[in-house]
Amino acid sequence: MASVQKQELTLFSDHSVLAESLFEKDVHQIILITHKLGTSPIWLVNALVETLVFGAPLTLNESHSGAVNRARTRTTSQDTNRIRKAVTIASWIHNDEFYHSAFGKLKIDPSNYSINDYLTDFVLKNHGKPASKVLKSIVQELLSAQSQTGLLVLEQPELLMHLLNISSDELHLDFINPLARAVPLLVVVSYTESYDNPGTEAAEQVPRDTVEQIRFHTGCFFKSIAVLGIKPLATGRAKDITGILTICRGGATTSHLPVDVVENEYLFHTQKDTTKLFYR
Amino acid sequence: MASTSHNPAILLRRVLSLRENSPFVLVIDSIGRSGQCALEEVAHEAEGSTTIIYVSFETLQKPRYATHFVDGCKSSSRLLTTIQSFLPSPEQSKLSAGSKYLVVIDSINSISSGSLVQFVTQLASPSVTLLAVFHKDVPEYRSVELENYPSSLYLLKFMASSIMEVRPFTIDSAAEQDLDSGLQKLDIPTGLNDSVYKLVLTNRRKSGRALTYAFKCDAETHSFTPIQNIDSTVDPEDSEAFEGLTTFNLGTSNKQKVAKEQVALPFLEAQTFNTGGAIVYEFEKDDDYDEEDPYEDPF
Repeated sequence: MASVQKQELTLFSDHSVLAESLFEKDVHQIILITHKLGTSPIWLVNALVETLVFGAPLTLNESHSGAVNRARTRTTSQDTNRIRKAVTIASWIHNDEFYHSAFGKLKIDPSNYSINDYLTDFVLKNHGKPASKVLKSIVQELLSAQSQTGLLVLEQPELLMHLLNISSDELHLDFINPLARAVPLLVVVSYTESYDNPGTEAAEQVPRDTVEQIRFHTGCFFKSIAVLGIKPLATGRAKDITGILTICRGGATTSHLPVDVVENEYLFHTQKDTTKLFYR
Repeated sequence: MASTSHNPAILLRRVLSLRENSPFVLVIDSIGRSGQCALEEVAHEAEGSTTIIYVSFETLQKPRYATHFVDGCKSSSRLLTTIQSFLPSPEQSKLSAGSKYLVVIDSINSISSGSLVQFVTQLASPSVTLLAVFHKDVPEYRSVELENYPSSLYLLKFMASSIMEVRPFTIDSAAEQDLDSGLQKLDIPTGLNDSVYKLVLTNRRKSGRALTYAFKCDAETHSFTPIQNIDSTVDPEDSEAFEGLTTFNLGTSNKQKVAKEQVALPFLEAQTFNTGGAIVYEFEKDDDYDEEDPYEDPF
């Protein structure tokens, strides 16, 4: 694989990872990242965060030290007039230490991001409170975290359905929709290993939890302009390939945007702190 | 009307431009092809004077074509009241007979199946067209006590006067099956939600007769090309279909086919009435008809 040419990550038709037009006034979008057992999406979240902070995903396809050097040069040469957008991360499966450490390695200045840890003591803090009140307070917390939030990443928000005993529709209407309408770009990271959709016309009786889980993921698809799907190789494990990244259009229209989603399929290989991309 | 029933493209344009008398248009979509394309086609074809009320359960910003933008909510009765505040009262609609109202619902899956019938019937009327998208990949939980109650999709299909089903444009059914098995696991391949897609239109006439046509659509050029369905052109009375099934001769000869086509069916006469209904009675020689008996009068 060493001789195979590495590829740049491109999501939009203007050859960008995150097009500038996504951050214009009164424009709100959702991007869905799905991942399965054995493939972590953290490298992709890092790439999106780096794109917003530095203008490009520096650590992709680079050795760690090379990326750090590039980051330093980018930060010092950055146009001071450019409006700096911040990132807010809300995670239900990782604590704040995890992200502070990850972003620290990428040399991202702590003023550029804020981490909301909803893994630690979530149940203890919210036990006995009505679900609608808890959702409202989380929405307020996330929106007040950074006034200049350009990118909000929700890592596995579907767990809220089980933590608060609410339906997928409640989670979408009271949580995902208000957040998506308040920030330019919302990225929902979801774990879809257990997704097995029988469809509406199937006669089989599906348990309520499974139905709500499928409804949530499918609802996110129809709201998203792009879906970044990560899955392991269908043929099993390979020494020099970790998995496949598929970029495809989501259910939401992009007719109001000057750019379109560029569909593509990459192979990726994660080793220590770096991930390399190759065309399939 | 005869020309529209024989020209699928004209019929589709009439449905899209709301000129066809169709108070409830249902759009069925899937992960493979989102129904947004059908909504945009209706907005493109509809007259500029049409008032469009867009009810959003999943759209994040007001579409360019929408006159009013309403946020979806959990309570269907509250939502109904909000939508109705933008619609004319029955008295007003009589006065302004020319103006059209279109209520667009981007995901009717969010309305519970228990209140679906009431919701649709209270909105759809001759002056208001309801255009609703149903995602067939969004399952609904069916409790044991309502096991035999029809599903939301079944109810909507029953109530809709026109159904537009959008699908990705695949070459053959084998590719479609491959695609479905992947989507069942949310493995979304590239090439879906493209500007070229397949639309299957089912239009119900007042008589109850349903016309179904398939089209290859292009969202960029707004063109609709009818697709000839090869399977439906097979003659159901083709003698080859019965071969090997039984030792009886179930086929029909050409002479028998001609004779069959010439039979005037009794109910055809009922279709010549312009309005209302009437009883068509033909006196036959074995009928015992007494003119003096009032209870014998078949009319």
